[in-house]
Parts: sequence; structure tokens; C-alpha cells
Amino acid sequence: MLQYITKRIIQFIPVFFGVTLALFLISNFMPGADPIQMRFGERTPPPEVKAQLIQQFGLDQPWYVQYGKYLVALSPVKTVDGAVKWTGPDLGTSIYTGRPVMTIFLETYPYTIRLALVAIMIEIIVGIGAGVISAVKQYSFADVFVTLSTSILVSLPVFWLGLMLQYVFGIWLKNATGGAFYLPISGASSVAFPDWVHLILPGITLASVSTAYAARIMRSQLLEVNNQDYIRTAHAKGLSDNGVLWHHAMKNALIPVVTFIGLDLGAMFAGAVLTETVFNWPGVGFTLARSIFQRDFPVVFGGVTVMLFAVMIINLLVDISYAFLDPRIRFGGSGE
Amino acid sequence: MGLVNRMGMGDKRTPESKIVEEGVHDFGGQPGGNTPLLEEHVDHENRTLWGDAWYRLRRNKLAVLALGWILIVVLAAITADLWVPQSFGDPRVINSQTAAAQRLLPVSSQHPFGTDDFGRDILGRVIYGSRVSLTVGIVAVAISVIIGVFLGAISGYYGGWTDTLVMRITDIFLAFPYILFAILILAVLPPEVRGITPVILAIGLLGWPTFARLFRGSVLSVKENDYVDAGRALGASDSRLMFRHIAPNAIAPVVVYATMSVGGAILTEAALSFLGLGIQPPKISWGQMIESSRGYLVTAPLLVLWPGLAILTTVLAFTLLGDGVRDALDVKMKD
Repeated sequence: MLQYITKRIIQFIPVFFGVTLALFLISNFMPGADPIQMRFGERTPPPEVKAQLIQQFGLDQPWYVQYGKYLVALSPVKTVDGAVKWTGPDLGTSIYTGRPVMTIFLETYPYTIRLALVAIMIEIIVGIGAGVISAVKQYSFADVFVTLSTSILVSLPVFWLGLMLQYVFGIWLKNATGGAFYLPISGASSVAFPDWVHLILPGITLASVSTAYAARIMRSQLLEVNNQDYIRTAHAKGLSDNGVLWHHAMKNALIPVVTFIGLDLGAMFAGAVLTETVFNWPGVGFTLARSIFQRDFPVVFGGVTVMLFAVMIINLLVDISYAFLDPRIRFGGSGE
Repeated sequence: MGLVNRMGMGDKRTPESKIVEEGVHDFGGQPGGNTPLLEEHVDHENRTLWGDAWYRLRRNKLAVLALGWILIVVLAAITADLWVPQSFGDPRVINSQTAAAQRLLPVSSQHPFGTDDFGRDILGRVIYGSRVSLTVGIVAVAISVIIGVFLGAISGYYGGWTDTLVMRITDIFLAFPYILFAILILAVLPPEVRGITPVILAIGLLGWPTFARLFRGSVLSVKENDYVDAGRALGASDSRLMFRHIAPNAIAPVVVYATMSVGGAILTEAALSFLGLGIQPPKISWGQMIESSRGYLVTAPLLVLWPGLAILTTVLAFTLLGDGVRDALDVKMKD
């Protein structure tokens, strides 16, 4: 197991350099607005202020020097005054706001994680539940309903679903009930609602597509497992249908579903750009999208770096969880 | 089995023996071969793998319905210039004389979907918007397929360090959320350069890794077949083995995934345009229509509803068609 984890961490190294290098190259060789200018909006900054900022952020240096500095700052161990010290990783400073990038993400990550956990809960309860019902009662009305609605859900533009939910639950319902009952459609907190109510609509929006996929995978896996010999044996030895389902079929059928939900959690930790944008949710996706538009490169690189590590750690945890779910899986093979 | 016969030089048929033996595909009769005819197809003409798949696809009601809808959208997109401006007024331009009076009209026989904030017919705009969506969907996926199949073929056929290199590159691409990458690429472009071409390139160039993996896996399993060895023993070149013997039997999963991906590419274009990074006004795309009417959600929600429904129905059609093609080709895929 330890060998496997080491191997996965080593595999992460080229991924890390590939993504960060690609980003540095893209941002350096693409034409576009000047990041310093973005900070001043329509105003023209005094040349000496601008020159000082350019120097401060190292924008006058070639890309490889900037990349080297980024790597050095990222290292959690640095030499300070000749002594090697643990300083923690440094992600730089935002050009637009002048604040440390680490602080920005420490503030926004809790929002993203909160939203992701709500979405994952919906995925687990609704997705797996619908998949199981659909498979157990194959070709029933419930099955047709689940199959059809998952097809529709995976074809929905997420941001449009968010807008429609905003309209129905935030605007139409408010008018219909004379303002007595509705759901908040923007931000993470307000005076009118407790904080958790703000999670409902963005949570549903973020969960929608993945819940549909989880239900489909659950259904097809359960149907496949049900065809196997050991399930017939379990039935033959007199187990009840429920006993077979929960003690035998589910154990194997769940593995791909758990994989999918785990990987999805990893993707959600990278921030839900669209959902967070539609609902003005102050998470990392929203922050990152805004920073991209502001050409605030330190925040972009910092955000991408944090996401890469988050995605990698989650993916690794998902892989490790296989071993507990399925003892047949032996690590250390060719991996292909 | 007539194996060598079918493998021989100048033989135009694709090798199918392995698949028939494994019962993965059931074919009609095979001319010249002595494979017994499979009962359920006795009454049909001789068909190739693709002919057989087409036959099965036609019997799938949902897939036919989906294909019909796609054809309607394609037809409307192609012929729009001939009838849309005449019927509803040109939805691509703002008529400054009538804009104020025609603004945000409700649904009527004159304007089946109503009019937008500039007095333009929404149905007309949805129809013109389909041009962008279909173009992006099809061209972007074509780019992904070409790159993916090429690299997947090299990777699966030759193995070794090329394989390692290609697979590590796909790791890099797949490790990171696709949409964020597309946003990053498009965001560094200056606004005046944004438009359909960068969107197509971004989606196309980011989408190939899945195709490469799919085709590589497929090539790896197909190249182990006896008929490939037979071909090699008869002196077939690498390219002949690849194009004549391996590719025709390995391409099915790519075809299925490509069909489904068209819908995905349409969704990505809509999302990018919604974020302001894709199609720029006055050009029309469904995502851009939603973006520009977002502010009217309270007063005129229909402005947001129609383009969204257009995206939903078209993407759904490609999803259902993809399911149909998967079943018709009998490809096993993860959901």
C-alpha cells in the first residue's frame, strides 16, 4: 500500500509541472490587457507607481524566472538568513487587491467545501437511492421515470438550471405567496434567512448532473451484478431479496459509484465556477473566475496550485478506499 | 473459418471472425465464408457491421426520435436565411425604428417565442443560435477525435515510451477540470479576438485525451487477435494493419463517445458564452442569449427559458442518439 501511495505521488509530479508550466506559458505569450492596468480600472496610474508595481510583482522578468520564483515561494521549507526553516508555502500576493493569495483561498475554501458537501450528500442519497429503485424494479414506472429524468439532467446546462431554480423558488414563489415564502437566490448569507437556507438552491444545482450520473451508474452496476452466479447462489440458499441486495449485490455494485462520487468530490473542490457564478457564491470557483477576468495572475496560479493538490489528494483517497471496498484489488500491479 | 481468405490482400471486407466467435456482434450471412447464419438475421440481406448497427438503430424509437430532432435543427440552421427574416423580421439586427414598440412582446402568432429587449424575434434568434451550437459541437468533436484517435493509435499500437508519454499527457489533461482549463485559455485572449474559432479550438484541443484513452484501449485489445497476426505474417505493413485490420474493429467506442460528446461540446460552448468568454454579441449563440437576458429573469423569464430549452432538447437528442448508437454497436461503456 505504501509503495502504491509513493508511486501515485511520484506520478503527480509531471502532472503538477505540466499544468503549472502550461499556465505560465499561456499567460506570458498570449496578448491581453495589462494586469497592473486592471487594478486601476479606467484611471491611468502614474508611471513611477506602475513601474514600481511591475517590479514588485516581477512582471518585467522572463517567464522562467517568474516560474522559478513561484516554485521557490511554494516550497514550504526555505532558507531564511542562512538557516533552513519551515515557513509554509507562499502563494504570492494578489495584484488586484494586494492581499496574500493564501489568505484569499483560506477565506473562500470553506464556502466551496460547504457547497460541495451538500451536493455530495444529495448525490449519495438521491443518486444511489434512485439507482437502486430503478434497478430493483427494472422496467417499472419508477425505472422509466429515473432513466428519462437522468437523461434530461445530464443534458441540462447547469447555469440555466440554476437560473430556472432562481426564477421558480426565488421570484415566482415569492410573488405567488405574496412574499411569505421563497428561497434566497444570491450569496451565502443574509439577514432574512439562516445561512443553511442559502445552500439549498446552489446545492441542488451543483448536484444535479452528478446525481443523474450516480443514479445511472448505480442502476447499470446493480443490473450487471444481479446476473452473476454468486447472486443466484445467495438466492438459492434462501436469502430474502433484501438480504441479497444489501449483503451481496450492493457491496460489489457500489464500487464504481463510490469511485465516481469520489472523483466528483475532487472536481468540486476545484470549485464550481458556473454554479458559484450564477448564485454569487463566494467560493474558490467564483474567486478564480473573477481573478481570471481581472488578470490577477498570482491569484490564478495560487488557486490552480491549491486545486491541483486538492484534486490529487481526493483522487488518492478514492483509490485507497478501493482497497477497503474490494479486497480483490491488489495494488502495485502495472496500473494500466 | 475462411480466415486467411478474408485477410488476404485486396480483400475489402473488414475482419469480423473474432467478434462473431465471441458473440459480441451478431452479423448477417457472410459471403464466401462458411460461418453459419445466425437465425434472427436469416431474412435480412448481407450486411456489414455498420449496416447491421444502422438496422438496429432504426428500430430504436428514442434514437430515431433524437435523430429526427437533430435533423430538424440542422435543417432550420441551414435554411434560416431563406425564411426566418421574412417570417419574423431579421433577428440578427436591431431595427431602431421598431425596437421600442416591439420590445419584450409576449408570445403571439407573430412572435411564437415573443421578442427580446431589443425587439428582436426570439424564435428567430434561437434558430440562428443553432448555427453556432451545431458548428461548435461538430467541429470541436471532430478535432478531438482526429487528435485522440491518432495519438491513441500510436500509443496502443507501438506501446513503449510513446505510450508512456501520450498517457502521461492525457493524465495532465484529465487531472484538471476541463471547463477551468477552457476558461483560462479563453480568458487570456483579448475580448476582440473572442468568438467561435477560439471556442472551437479550446473545446477541441481539450477534449482529445478521452478519445485517445478509449481508442488506445480498444487498439490494445484488438491487436491481440489472430487475424492481426495473420495479416502481419502475410507481410502487411504497419499502416495496413492499423487501417485495414485494427482500426475498423476498434473504432466503435470512439463513434459512440463522439456522438455523446457533441452534446457535451454544445453545453461547454453555452457555458463559456454564458461566462462572457465565448460568442460575443451581435453574433448569436444560445449561451450568449442566456447571458445577455439574465438581467430580465424577474421581468421577462421567457428570454432565459427559450434558449435554455433549445440547448436542453438538442443536447438530449445527442445523448439519446449516443445511447442508441452504443446499443446498436453493442459497445460496452461505463455510463
